[in-house]
Amino acid sequence: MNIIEIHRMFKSYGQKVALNNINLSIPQNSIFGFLGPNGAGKTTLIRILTGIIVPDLGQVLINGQELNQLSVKKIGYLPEERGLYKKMKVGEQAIYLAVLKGLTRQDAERRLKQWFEKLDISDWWNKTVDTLSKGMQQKIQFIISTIHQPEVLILDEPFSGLDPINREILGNEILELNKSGMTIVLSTHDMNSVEQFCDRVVLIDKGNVLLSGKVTEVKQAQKSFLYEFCFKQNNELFINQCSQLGAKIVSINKNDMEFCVKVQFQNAPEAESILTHTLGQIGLISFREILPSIHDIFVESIIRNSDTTNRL
Amino acid sequence: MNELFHVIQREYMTRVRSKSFILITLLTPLFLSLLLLLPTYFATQHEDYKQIKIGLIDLVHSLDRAFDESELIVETIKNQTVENVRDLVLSDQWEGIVYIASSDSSEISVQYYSSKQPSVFLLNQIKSAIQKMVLNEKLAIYGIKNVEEMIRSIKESISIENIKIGADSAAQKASSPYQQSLCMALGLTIYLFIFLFSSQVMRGVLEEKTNRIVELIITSISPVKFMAGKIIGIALLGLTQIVCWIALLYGFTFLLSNFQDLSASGNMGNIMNQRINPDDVSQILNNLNLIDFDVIIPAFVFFFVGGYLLYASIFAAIAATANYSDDIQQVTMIVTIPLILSIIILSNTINSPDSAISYWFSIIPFTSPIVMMGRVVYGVPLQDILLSMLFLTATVAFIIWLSGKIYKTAILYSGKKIKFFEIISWLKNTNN
Repeated sequence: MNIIEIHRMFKSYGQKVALNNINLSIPQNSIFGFLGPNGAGKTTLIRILTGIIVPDLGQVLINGQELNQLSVKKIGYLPEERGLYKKMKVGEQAIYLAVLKGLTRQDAERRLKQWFEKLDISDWWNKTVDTLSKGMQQKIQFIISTIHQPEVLILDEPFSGLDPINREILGNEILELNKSGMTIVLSTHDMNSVEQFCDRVVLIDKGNVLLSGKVTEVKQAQKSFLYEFCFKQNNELFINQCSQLGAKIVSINKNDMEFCVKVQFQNAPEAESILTHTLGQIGLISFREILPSIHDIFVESIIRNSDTTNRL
Repeated sequence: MNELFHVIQREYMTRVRSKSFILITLLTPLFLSLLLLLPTYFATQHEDYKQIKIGLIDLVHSLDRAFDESELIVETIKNQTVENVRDLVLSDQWEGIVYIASSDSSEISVQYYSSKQPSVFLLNQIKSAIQKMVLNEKLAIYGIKNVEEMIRSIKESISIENIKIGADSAAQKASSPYQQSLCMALGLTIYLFIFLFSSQVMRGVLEEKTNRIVELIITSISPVKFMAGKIIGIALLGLTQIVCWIALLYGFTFLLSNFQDLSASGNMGNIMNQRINPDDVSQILNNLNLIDFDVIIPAFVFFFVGGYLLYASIFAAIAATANYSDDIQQVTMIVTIPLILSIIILSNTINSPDSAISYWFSIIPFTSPIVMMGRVVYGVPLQDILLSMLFLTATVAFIIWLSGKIYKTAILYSGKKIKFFEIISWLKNTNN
């Protein structure tokens, strides 16, 4: 079941089209990656989902109901451009922001204190924000974005500026929230985070969806029939067979232990044919299909889209 | 509505608890009171010469009665010459010695000998006593006597009483000097309040935009509601300060009206007693009673709130379009021109509250909060006040709508500078 559905979404700022007829579904309890270069339209889309701006055309459904003032409360949001009142005390400020999300003061205080204890930051409660580092402030902002226990949590670059330890702490919290049933939307340029956390992605460029789906499906769809074969020793016969079939030898790596060849085929039957031959060869240690990384898919798709747009 | 209340509460509470607000609220009336009392205090300090005993050696013998009416304690020292003055001064019997050696029709030679530097007040006192004596003597030569009484009687014989006659009421005695002071005071106060509190709104909006908290907040509350909450919260802060100051000033007036009791029992009373005549105090209070505070106080609150809402909304929109405080300095200066113009018009209103220029600027909404406030002191027809209020209310409603549209789009823009035509295109776009 989809928790968010976006239909025929269009938004422009003057002459500039920010979103062009976007259709998108975000399944419940998924960790959904929003990918795209700067200025692709991700922030505009997030701002529409959080009710900050309204689209020129199109519809957003949350649990099948149109987005409105009430249903927008089901969404938590950690913006990329985030900050806090510098001279206000951490606890007082967190309560204020939690109360704005509809919690009572007592509930807000109770839940916040639980979070502060969990992240071992209780001694920050009475400190003013300007005494905290950027990473510390980010933890507070993360807590505030999820304090009202939303059904969907949108995180825009949640790991930027965090050291590896805090990154891991925050990552674990995101996974835990997802396990508890929360749907996570992760907008980021950090492709390692996408590989690590996301089960689904959408790639947006110039206001258009270039590709979307499960990470494994996207990788399968974008694969280039690249395989790696490792032998006990130098195997010229294999290299010749590949060349005869028209396959491209991408790289050869030799060391004392093994002889590895990366080969790119034209299509699946060609790959299957050589695999059948190779399986019978003496000395084959291993072979594996190399799927493209999200980073590679991102770069290639954006370059391809840019070429297409320029040609048009 | 709940969110709006929380925003108002935060804007109000964080500021009302700040040390600067508490200090300004308490210290400003105290400072004003000190401004009134300090000159009196210093004047009493300068009157120490009254207790000083000085000696007089008058070789001319025509000026030995010069100090008869003086407040100085003067002892005539007979049969002494200038050679003995040094010993007399060093004997510490007198603070100093006035030595009059010669006198002719054009010049009188007077020396004052002392071991310490005398005050200017003391020397002036000696000089004025001698001058008075010489003047009277010379006038007497021309056959003119009692010149002081003559001058006093001329001054007292001219007095203008200003009686205002209304169509619907009896003749009313008005008091121009007090009205002029009140007109200026109210005009300046409302100018300061509008400027100070509108600037607070501007600083707040700019802070929220530059430290990026605004995007976090407007997921919970609409931008326009958030802006309204900020403006209302700071308006309540301003009203709190006004109420505190009125209470403190009433307290001060109460003390003033009872000062006769105080004067009988304490040092402060003694100080005031030397400077303020009880009749004058009762005159001040009578004149204050003649001013229509039943109209002035509600008008002050209305024009403060109206003027503040007008300028605070404009300042909020300006701050929302900026990325740094430097971006808004020039625009702010342009927007405050009507406020400065109001103060210039107010100087005309003091002298002629019903002139055409005062009338029109008290109707135009951008200047009316200050100029109308100045006019109200003199008594303005009710229809003029209502017309001014109507124009101000309509303009405030329009400006809030306009500023809200600019604010909600501009507050999310960061990085690049927003151009004027972009703002116009937002206003045309119904979705923004």
